[in-house]
Amino acid sequence: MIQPLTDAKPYTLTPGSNGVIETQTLEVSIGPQHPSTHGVFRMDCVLDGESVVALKPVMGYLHRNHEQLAERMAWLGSMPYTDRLDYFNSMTNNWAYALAVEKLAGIKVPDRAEYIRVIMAELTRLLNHSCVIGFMLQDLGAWGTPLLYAFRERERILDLYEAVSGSRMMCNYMRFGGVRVNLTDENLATAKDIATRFPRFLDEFEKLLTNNEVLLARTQRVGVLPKELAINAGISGPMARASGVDYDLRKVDKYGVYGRLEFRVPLGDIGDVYDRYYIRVLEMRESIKILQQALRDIPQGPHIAPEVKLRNFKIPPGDGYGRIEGPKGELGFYLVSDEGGKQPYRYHVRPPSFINLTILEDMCVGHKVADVVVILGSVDIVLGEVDR
Amino acid sequence: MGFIGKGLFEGMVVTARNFVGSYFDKERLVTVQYPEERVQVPENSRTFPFLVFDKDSDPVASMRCVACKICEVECPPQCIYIVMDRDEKGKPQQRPKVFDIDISVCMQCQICVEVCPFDAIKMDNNYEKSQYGRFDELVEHLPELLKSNEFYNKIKPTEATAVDAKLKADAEKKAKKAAPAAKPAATAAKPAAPAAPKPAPVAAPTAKIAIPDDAPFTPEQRQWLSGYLSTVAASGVAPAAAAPVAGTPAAPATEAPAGNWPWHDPGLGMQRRLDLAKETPIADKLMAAMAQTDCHACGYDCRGYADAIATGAETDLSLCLPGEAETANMLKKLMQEAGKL
Amino acid sequence: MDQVYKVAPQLLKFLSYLLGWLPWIGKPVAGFLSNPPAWFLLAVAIAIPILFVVSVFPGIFAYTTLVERKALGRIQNRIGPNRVGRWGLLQPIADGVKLLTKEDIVPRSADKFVHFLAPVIAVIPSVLLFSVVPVGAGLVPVDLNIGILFAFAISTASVLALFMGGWASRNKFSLLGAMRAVAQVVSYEVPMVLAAVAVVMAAGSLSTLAIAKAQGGGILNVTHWFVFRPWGFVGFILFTIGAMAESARTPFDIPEAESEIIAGYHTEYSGFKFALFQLGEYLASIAMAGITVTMFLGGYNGPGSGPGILGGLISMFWFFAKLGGMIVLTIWIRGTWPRVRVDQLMSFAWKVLLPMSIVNIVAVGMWHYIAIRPIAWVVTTLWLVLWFITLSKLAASENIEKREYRYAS
Ligand code: SF4
Ligand code: SF4
Repeated sequence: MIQPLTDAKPYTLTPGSNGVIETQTLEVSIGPQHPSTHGVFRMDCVLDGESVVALKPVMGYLHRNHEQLAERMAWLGSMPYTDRLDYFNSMTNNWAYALAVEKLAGIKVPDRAEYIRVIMAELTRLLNHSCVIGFMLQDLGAWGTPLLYAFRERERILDLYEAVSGSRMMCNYMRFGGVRVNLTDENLATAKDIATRFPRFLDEFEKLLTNNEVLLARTQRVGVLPKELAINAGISGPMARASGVDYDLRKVDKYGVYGRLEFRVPLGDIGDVYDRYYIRVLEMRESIKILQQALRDIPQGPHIAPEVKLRNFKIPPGDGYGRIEGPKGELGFYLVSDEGGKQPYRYHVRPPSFINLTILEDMCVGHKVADVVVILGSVDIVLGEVDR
Repeated sequence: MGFIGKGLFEGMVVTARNFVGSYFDKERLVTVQYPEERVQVPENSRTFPFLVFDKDSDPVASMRCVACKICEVECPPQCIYIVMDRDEKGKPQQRPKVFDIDISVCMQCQICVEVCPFDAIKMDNNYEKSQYGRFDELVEHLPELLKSNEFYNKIKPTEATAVDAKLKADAEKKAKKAAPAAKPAATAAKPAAPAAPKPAPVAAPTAKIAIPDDAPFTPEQRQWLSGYLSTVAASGVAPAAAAPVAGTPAAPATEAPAGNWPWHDPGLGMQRRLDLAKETPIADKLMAAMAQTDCHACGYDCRGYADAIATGAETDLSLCLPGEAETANMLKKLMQEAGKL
Repeated sequence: MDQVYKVAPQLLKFLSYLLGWLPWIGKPVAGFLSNPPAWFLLAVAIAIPILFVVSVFPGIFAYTTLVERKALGRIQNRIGPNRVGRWGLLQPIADGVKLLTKEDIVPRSADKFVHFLAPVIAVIPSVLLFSVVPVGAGLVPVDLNIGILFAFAISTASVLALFMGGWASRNKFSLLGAMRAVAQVVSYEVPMVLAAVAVVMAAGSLSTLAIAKAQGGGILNVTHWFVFRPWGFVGFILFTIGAMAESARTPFDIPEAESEIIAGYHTEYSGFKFALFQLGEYLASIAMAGITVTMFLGGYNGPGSGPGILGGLISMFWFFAKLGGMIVLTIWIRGTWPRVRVDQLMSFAWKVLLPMSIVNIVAVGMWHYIAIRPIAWVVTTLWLVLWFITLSKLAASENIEKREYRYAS
């Protein structure tokens, strides 16, 4: 019920209402062109003054038919398209897809490749989490300062990505059975440098933010997601952990070589925006630990399983679901191969952003408009993944 | 937690440090002022593909690409368009006449590079490709795509050296193989030799009959069609069937007259193709087993290769590159079934 | 103005000397100028401050935007504008040209007249504010004996423009912005005025010039600045916060919060109308900084300031230096802090700032009646610190909690 302003009744003191002022709600469409919707996303908000009474997320503006495209393409052909799902984390997207295909085809991945994958995934987590915090602060109105600090550090990681895979964001790096290019010693040294340098940046970042009273006041007890709701709605990733759900696929599935690495899973108790912020900071610190271990332990050897063909790669009929703990949550690929096996019969993505977004209304109702954008920022969405 | 405002104050210290640092600290000032300064792109960096040629004197003749169209098939967004070059007689030249890459569609994924069996296509690292138009300006044609091997060596020394070494080794291997094989090849050529001129006189009249002067074709299409038909006629298969197709004025000048060879479609699976060719002579069955890319990696087109095998002119069954082992095995099986092996 | 009135004849004499060389009209004009009638002298004396205000402060505005962009850039590890002219010095001009040549878009359903009027009204109070800001020893465009009162009255008027703009745009975001602007300006007016009351009590006058004068003397003309008194320091902070909220600067830029309501009341403005809004806002912010300087930072007082031509020039230098300092402070804050929420803004005004400013007035009273300075220092400081701790504890307990995090086993 979109009310044109002209038709809005003037505020009246109606005789029978004990002098209570009759007011009207205001329907505002936030997005799809809005600086804080992180892309083309729309929220239909019903406002009572500044408070949100109802909110409906509207998705689909960035739909690119990803799944159907992949069903018309050789297995390898959709690898570069997975880069474009969550364009911040192409490395982990690649990994999730490769993992699903490897599961389906029964490919064994060499050790070195597993370690390379872990290194790349944890670097991705670092850059995603730091940038997400930056974006959230941008929504809080910090004029881009934290965001640009995060981008400054991200740049070093992207430089490494470019040196390794050839592209900064659209890496297209993983292959079935390994990774496309081996890491040179130089690359490993750069990664080590990043791993030693990043804690210093995190300290600075935290000094700028963690105790900032404005940030605390704006984020604590805002957008609370109770544990039960998080579990029922299938929320995953830092968002679920901020609500106290102990669910980290790196621990649950122990895919790759995560079983051999030591790290802890931080958990929050309240599940508000601040918890989501701070869980990400803590996760970054754990990621650095993982990185250091992986960089220390990485063995020599082939970087890709030699028996995997590039072209005319076929998979015997069957189905498989490969999932990883992406920076945003559980990223899964469900694949079905049928007769012939040259291309997937069914290709489905379980995007964490999309599923984490479904409970937006539950978190937002009752808060102010200003909180809505912050809550959305703390959910950490990338529209490429939401709409696919 | 100290007094209220402590966190705010600490934050201001951090920003002040960054403010000062951005004047003195290289770490804190990462801006590169682009048109004046440029970052050195890493060797692995990739933007759009280009085609490698070896000799500066004749780039077109010495380009490595054989127009096998593997990249055209494998490119995920389908942004490559290749037309094989043919001489006036319609004989394939093993190089592309048209090689277009639509760089507004290309997503720089490098898959074409990975799948090319001839190391003919490589990734450039030139990122300055902006144009003032968005149609033909963003389609790169053969002349722009051709770059010398030296250029490749310059932008990607490590990779290019490895490729050069590999190509050299391959060439040596081939030469070694060719030396002892020269004799059987010569003998094999003998029976084939009389066969070749025989269909030729047939081909000429066929071509004349096939394309009436008032047929709605451009000279280019006419030339292509006549060349095409002569090849068909030369192979001795169904010239009668080819004629009506060419005679139909509406027949588009596409490369694969699907009406004749329904299996001649690279998009179909092997089983499907063989099913389509079930009730046909052995040569057609053999052809259905090919990858249908007409890639000339074997030295023929798919039709030609199948006929050559069927007539016994070609004994090597593993030449179909795009079909890989699958085709080779199937060819062997078919030949065994036909009792020819 | 009195000062200008005094120097105007000399200035005109000088002009007549210059113009005397001109042929034809030179002689008569020079004669007129060297012996001007009283009305002409008055006109000149009025024109000079006006010219000063409308030329110097918009200039400051233009270069404030440049400094702001540069400083924000450096704070964020960027370079900032550096393409137009050396160090980007011509950037404001380029911006002006750009905004002037941009299409002026008026929404179809907007109230056209009000939509047009709003940016104009936005600028007027901001310019008027400068009339009571003393820029040097005795140099104030108009020495009103109720200068401070005038300043508050005028600065509040600017909210009218914001509301007009937000309402006339017929855009829901603009309307939200306008409502926020009104609520914010009205509630911050109160603690700000109360903080100023402390100064007025101490200086014993409402005239800005008198307040500035009261802070002169002492060692190097510095020690008597009000900011170096316990109550003055607190008042300075209160007033700065209030001024920042009043001129909608970060962290109180909620009326135009670009990440929430896009740009609030000026969402629907483009081209030069947008520039006028910006101009009004920046001028108001600079004028408020000027008033802060006058009330707490000793105004034009500083080492070497005083009457006379040289002392006057030095005093002008000090005034503008302090003004620059205040501007830099706002930029620095803008580069660091996130924005507060609208309800927090309100509760902060009413629950922290207002009590604190009342406490501060009491402190001034103590300061006045305790004749022995050291004791006065200790007593007022203690009084203020105690209240500050209490209030901040109260405020913190409401909004901020300390958290511990656990790790999954
Ligand atoms: S794959 Fe074939 S057509 Fe493509 S570049 Fe290589 S040789 Fe040429
Ligand atoms: S880089 Fe990828 S998209 Fe571009 S032409 Fe090659 S295969 Fe196609």
